[in-house]
Amino acid sequence: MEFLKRLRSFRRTEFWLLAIAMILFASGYLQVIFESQRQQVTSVPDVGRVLGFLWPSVLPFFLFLGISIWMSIRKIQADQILLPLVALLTGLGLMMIARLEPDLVTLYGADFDNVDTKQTLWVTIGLIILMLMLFVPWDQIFIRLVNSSLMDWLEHYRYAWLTLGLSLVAATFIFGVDPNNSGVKVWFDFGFFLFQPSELLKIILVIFLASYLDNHRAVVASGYRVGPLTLPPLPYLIPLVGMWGLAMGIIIFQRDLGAALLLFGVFLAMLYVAIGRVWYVGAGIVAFIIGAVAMYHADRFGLDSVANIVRLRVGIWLDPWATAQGTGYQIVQASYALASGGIFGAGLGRGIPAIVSAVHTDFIYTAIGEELGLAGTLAVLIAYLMLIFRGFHIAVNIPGRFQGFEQLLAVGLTSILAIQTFVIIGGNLQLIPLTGITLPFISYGGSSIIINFLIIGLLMRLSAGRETA
Amino acid sequence: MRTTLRVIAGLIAVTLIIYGMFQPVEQYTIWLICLWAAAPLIAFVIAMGQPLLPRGVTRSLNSLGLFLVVLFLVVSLQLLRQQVIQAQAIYDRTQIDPDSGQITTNVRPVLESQRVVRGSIYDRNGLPIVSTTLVEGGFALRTYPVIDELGLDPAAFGNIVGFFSTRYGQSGLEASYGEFLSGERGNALRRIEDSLLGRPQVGNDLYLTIDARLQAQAYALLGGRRGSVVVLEPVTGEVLAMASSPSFDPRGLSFNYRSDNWNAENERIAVFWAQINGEGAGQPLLNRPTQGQYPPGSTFKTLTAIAALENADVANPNQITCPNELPTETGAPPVVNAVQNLASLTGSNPNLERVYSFSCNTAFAQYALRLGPERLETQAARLDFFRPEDAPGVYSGFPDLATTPSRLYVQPGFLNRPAALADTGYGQGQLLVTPLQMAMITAAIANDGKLMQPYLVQRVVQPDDSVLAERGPVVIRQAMSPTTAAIMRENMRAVGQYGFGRVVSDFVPGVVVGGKSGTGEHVPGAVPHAWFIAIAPVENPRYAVAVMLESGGEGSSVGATLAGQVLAAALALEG
Repeated sequence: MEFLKRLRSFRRTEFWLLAIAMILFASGYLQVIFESQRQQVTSVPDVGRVLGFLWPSVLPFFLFLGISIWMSIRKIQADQILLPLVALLTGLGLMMIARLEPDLVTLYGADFDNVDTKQTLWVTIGLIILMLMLFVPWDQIFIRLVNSSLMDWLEHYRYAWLTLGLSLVAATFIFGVDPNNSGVKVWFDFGFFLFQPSELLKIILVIFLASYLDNHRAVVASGYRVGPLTLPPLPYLIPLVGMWGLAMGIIIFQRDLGAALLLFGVFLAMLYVAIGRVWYVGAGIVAFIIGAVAMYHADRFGLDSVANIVRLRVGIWLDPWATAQGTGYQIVQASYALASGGIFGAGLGRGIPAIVSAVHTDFIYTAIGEELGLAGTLAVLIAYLMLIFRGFHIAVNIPGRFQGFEQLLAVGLTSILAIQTFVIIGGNLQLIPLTGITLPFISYGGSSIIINFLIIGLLMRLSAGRETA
Repeated sequence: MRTTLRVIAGLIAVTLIIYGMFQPVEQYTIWLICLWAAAPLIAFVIAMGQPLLPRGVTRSLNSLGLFLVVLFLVVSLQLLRQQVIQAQAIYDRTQIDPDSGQITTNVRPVLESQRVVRGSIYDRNGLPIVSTTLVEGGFALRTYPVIDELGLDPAAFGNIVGFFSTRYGQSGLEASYGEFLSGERGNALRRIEDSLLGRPQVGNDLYLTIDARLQAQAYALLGGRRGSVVVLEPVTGEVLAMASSPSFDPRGLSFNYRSDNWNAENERIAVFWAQINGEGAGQPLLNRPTQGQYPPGSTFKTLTAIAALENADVANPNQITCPNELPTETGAPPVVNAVQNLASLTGSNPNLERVYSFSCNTAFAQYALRLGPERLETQAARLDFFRPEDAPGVYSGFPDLATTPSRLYVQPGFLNRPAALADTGYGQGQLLVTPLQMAMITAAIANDGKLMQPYLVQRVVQPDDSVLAERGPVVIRQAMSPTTAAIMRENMRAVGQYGFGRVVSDFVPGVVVGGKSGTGEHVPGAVPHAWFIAIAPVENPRYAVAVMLESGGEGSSVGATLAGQVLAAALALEG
């Protein structure tokens, strides 16, 4: 009887989806190994070499399976689709990075030795964070310590989060470093680890906004009349102006267009879901466009460097061929890579995607396009869409009584993934100006991987409802 | 109302996307505008199809989801354009920076071509000239078994097979038959199979009409002198030999992937390239038989004679004199013969055979004046000698290799002056012809007046030994009557027996050879170009030969000697 009860709580959907993803990547890895062996001069495939190549990337998969089984045992009712989707995208990233590593080393030097092993380390850390979020009884701990559940605690201290977020921004101005000469100082150097605070800022701002907007949800949209204009009521006007100011500030002082676009986009999505008025969102978009146009002409206000970077990005977007050997190089090479992929791609290990610089971070989508073709790029898009819609599904189906904060939090966290995905893929594909952010779960990078797993951890926790002590 | 609006919006969106997607890749901004203009229309179409939910979180999330779906749809459309619709145009896009001269191009085709097992090239007897060997690392090395297996000089074949370099491109048949050799044309199924199974792409083999041994001997007989030898099979138009000197060794540009030091290999090829393109190298990359343009000298009297025979009523070919001087028009120097008192050789009452065999300039000037410009031009056109206004950019009669059209004159209206007409009649004037074209006239005479298309490649054979393409004789046109051709063969026999050029017969005892010498004046005072055209045996010609030596001297001695040696080589190989 006990066994049958266990069986009923077995997370069958999740487990089998994970198993399918594992089979997919097992064959993918075999292909990568086969190709790398084929191109070796002495093609004697020995088991030791193959295992040495394989084991680091395989490890996270067992952790995924382990988490699923442990959740079955602990009877955690979290969403069963999120984890397989994340495994799929993370696995694809690990596989692509494993495939790119030898090419990166050949083309760009020994700095890229072990990128795959490092990525495995980040994914493992991310999974540990996920486990901590799922299996530690946080609600009980928080009730004992501060007499409120985790979510209540997050909701309650919103101005603390705001302060923390703003101080993070401020700290990057002071302590920020620019390790890879990208022209933007948006990293903290912890010696052993470079951390991008804007990654953490995303989550902190989402928590603050979820709490703030939920708290002011009840405000009747009456508004103030200023001459012929009707302004939104003050509780909405303040964050609108504040977030706009923050986005513009990030552009002016950090030259980080991607982060500005992401933060403002997430804010507009949450604002819209909270109060359901297209008008405010439209006003926000118009304000952002006005701001961006002003940036383009910022030299008139004495901000020459801001104008230069904005014009450079727009120039590369509209005509990368004008500077095909200089600033437009990446986009031109990316277009060659995508075009060479065709419908089914060159096959894993059979293209030369590493010609595009930063192919393992910002441009990993073009590597997928070259080697897996349109079939691969569309599959990845669909996987992201499913992830996003699962996030929204979680938002409207949070167990228990209606919880506005949790709902907005889920929407905000999902929007981070959605907008970030669009901004980087759109940049890669020359749909919008290119900004250097990562493709969630697939791109190489510690901060990004860890924060994305944190987001998934929060979403899964939200989907599981509050712990019943 | 809603439905109508939806349909209209949908149609506009689809139109915009199709219009934008098929814009040339250079017009990227137009596509971008079309795509982003279509996006809100698509959103409208989808939104109108959904039931209106009550205001609330579900409705907001629906709209937000719709917004994201449209964004991802825009991404998908862009992917469709970049990876499928415009993929080939983007893949092939090349740009040369006007300021720095830097070339931006896709490196993939070059890297792929290093691994394509290009087809082999064989001579008419199946002897291998060019082949491909796969070396370690999957690289395809272009090899020249003509040297290793047959001991023949690869340079003799440089002008025909051309070079294959991933850095400097291709020439010769490697270029003109590139798609066959690389396998891009033909065996489509097999190519898909190869690419799916990760096997190297394998190309098709070429079987040529040339005889490798004759080609090597013809090149050797040129002995480093600048010039051409063309040997045609008159009845079919098959090219038996086409030598150009100086030539180049195609191995010099073939990257040796077996080398331990690839940088040294690149350096070696770069040095070789600079050397063959350098001044003083004598333009070895020029295929003189098809691209060299020279005044044909007295060999052109053949064409004037044909015109006179075809228009016997006005030209009266056998009513002719051979004075020492022939005045043409006031102010112009008179036409003179190359040899004084030629009439003593042609006889007191000469005919066409006598003036042809002793190459009497004044006689042929008279023929030309009797014919007038139009008749001469008409006959020239039948033999594909073009007026400047008719000359194509590339001569289409010999598509296997890049060929320059031969021209009767250069300035439009040139022949309207009697002096110019007279000069053209005996082979000076503004004539610029290729050795191949002279060989073609010769072959037409041997072939009862039918001008044949020359060809080099007789078969393209797929890796599975099936024939992909095959060529046979193609008649361009009947360029003269069979009677005229028969008379011309007799005239040429006279040259070989007693005329200027009888030297040619010394090399082929027992075979009756017909010919015509030519000495082309090109720069006043310089050594003239030596020409000789020949057919053998006259009764039933198996060979039509044209030889040409730049600044080689007298056609009747230097030219006839070379033609005789070439014919001797060809006849000796028959056994």
